[in-house]
Amino acid sequence: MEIKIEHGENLVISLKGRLDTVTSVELGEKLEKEEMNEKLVIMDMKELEYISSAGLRLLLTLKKKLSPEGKELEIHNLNPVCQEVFRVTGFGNILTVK
Amino acid sequence: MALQRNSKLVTKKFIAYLIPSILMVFAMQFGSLIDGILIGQMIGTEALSATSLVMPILSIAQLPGFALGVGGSIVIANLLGKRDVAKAKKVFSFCLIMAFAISLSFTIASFFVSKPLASLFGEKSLGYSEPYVFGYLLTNPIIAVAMVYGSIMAVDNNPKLSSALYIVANVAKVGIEILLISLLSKSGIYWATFGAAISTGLGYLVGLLTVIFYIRSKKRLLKLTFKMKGAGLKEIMKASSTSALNMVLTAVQTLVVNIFIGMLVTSQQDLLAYGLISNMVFLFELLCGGVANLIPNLCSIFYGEKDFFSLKSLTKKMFMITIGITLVVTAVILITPQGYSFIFGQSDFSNFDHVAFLLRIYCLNFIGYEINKFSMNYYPSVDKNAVSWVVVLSRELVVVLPLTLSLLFAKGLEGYCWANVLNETITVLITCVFIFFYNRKKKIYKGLLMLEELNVVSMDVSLDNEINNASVISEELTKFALANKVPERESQLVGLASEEMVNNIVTYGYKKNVHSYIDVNLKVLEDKLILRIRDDGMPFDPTKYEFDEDEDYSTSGILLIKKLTDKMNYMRVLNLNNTVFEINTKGVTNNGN
Repeated sequence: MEIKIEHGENLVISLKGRLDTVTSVELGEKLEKEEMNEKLVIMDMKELEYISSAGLRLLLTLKKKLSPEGKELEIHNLNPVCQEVFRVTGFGNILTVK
Repeated sequence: MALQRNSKLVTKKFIAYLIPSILMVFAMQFGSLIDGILIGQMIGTEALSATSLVMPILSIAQLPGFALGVGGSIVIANLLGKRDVAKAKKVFSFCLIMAFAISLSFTIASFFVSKPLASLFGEKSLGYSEPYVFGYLLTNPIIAVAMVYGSIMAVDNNPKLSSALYIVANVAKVGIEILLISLLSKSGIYWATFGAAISTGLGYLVGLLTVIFYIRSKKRLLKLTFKMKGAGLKEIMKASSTSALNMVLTAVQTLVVNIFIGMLVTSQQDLLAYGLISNMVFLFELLCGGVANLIPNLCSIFYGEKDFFSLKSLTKKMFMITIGITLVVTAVILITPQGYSFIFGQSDFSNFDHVAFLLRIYCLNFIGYEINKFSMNYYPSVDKNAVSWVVVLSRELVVVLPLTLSLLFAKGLEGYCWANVLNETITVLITCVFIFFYNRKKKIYKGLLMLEELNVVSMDVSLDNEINNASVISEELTKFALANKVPERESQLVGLASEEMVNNIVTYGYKKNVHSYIDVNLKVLEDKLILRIRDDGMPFDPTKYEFDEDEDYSTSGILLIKKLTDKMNYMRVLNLNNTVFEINTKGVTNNGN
């Protein structure tokens, strides 16, 4: 999986490939080291082909980390398969999906 | 990473099933051996010869329990492989009730037919043979029920209980036999022999206590039902036919051949050789019977699942083990017939040349004997009963009787030994020729194993139980599905199902540092994808899994795939978790050719 992180007005994390059992650990380790000073963190999933429950758990952990700091997490550009995963798990209700 | 299928998971299961099976055969063979010794020592040699003579009648009496047990377990294993538990329950109930009912009719008949039947073997020994036949038939329903349970428990995830039944039964039988003969011999030989006869049934009654553990077993799938409509009588009869026919013909053949041997074999050396030859059969049964017992159970399940990789791999292993043991023992007897005879108490080797010569000839028949036994067990398991019928008819009737009798008349016991070698060899050849023409006629079966070619696009791999493999298999299955023109959504879903399931198995299925394997199979059919995941981790039924997360969202991978796949099935077969997912597809253009 390719991970691109851009700091600016918002923090934009672009993902390409698959967010699965292995790559969610890699992404988690990378985000752990990243300074997140922006108020809004955008996960751009335009090029993300696939997400499993391991990826969802990572997003949940990130949201739980950002919320107490008054920061927000938005998920952008989900493909139809990932949208379906968000829908059946209820993640579409707890995360801001655009 | 190159993913390949291996047989390590099913081999682990094979080994786990093999040990109880060997112990079971040991218990049964020693039970018979000690039975003979006890009758001979405690009642007398006349009683021993009288009870040996009526053995064919007892074999026929055992027929309902034995044939319905073996046949029923083949059909049930096949149905479990196809995940049809409802029908498997009907077959189980039908076999159990039928075996009991038929045996009970023998018991009722025993009050009227014991004497006339026993008198067929001579009026002189009637004092022993009549109570033996009567006592055995009286307890026959218990033996029949035990035999059915013994066979069925092995296929229904409880091979250790199946072996325990036979071990407990045979140990108990010896104890009961000693007790009854001691107590009843005061009342005369009739009652002492009667006591010896009922000890088998009473031993099995004690053995049936293991059924209590089976009924309480969480791994048990089969329960007794009285709704037996649609049990598939034809299938049961077909699967039972080989063992039934074999049992009847063996009894007839033994009877006829024994009569002529009794007439023609008279010299001291020939009698000694004949005793040692009879023990040779016992020795080979003892060493190879454990593997032979496993063939119907394992092969039927994998045939039902259409998992021909496991089927071929295990069949090859079982065949190699059987033939390997046979070759080693044959070589030992050829090199040192004296050493073999010593095991059976022979210590005087003066004038032993003729006996040694006969033993060397006779031991040559066991390579063919084991191949033919293998065939009789294997072919009904893969629904090719015609082949096993050919084997049985050839070796028990068509070839053996005329050949044995003519050679016995021409050359005495030496002729009998050669006849056995020729009989087994000719039967192997006849079987091969029959398979060749059968395959050519039917066109869909291939090779000696006679398995049909599966024209299905499929991916078959084995994984080590490592967490990274959850991602690897997911990606590979998705790529494979896409390459076979499965739509994007369904290709991703099959990857997702495999990842979530493998992740769950690796994380929760095993104790720390336990290394094992997970078999994954994906079939791309015209209208759906079928994903089968098999593991030997702790029993886990994902279809019954509920996640008690107190939120309006869920992070459970199992719940996710339950919702996204169209069908999810689970079954614990051969003590392995088997989870099968189905995902409906639309617009698949590749038909697999």
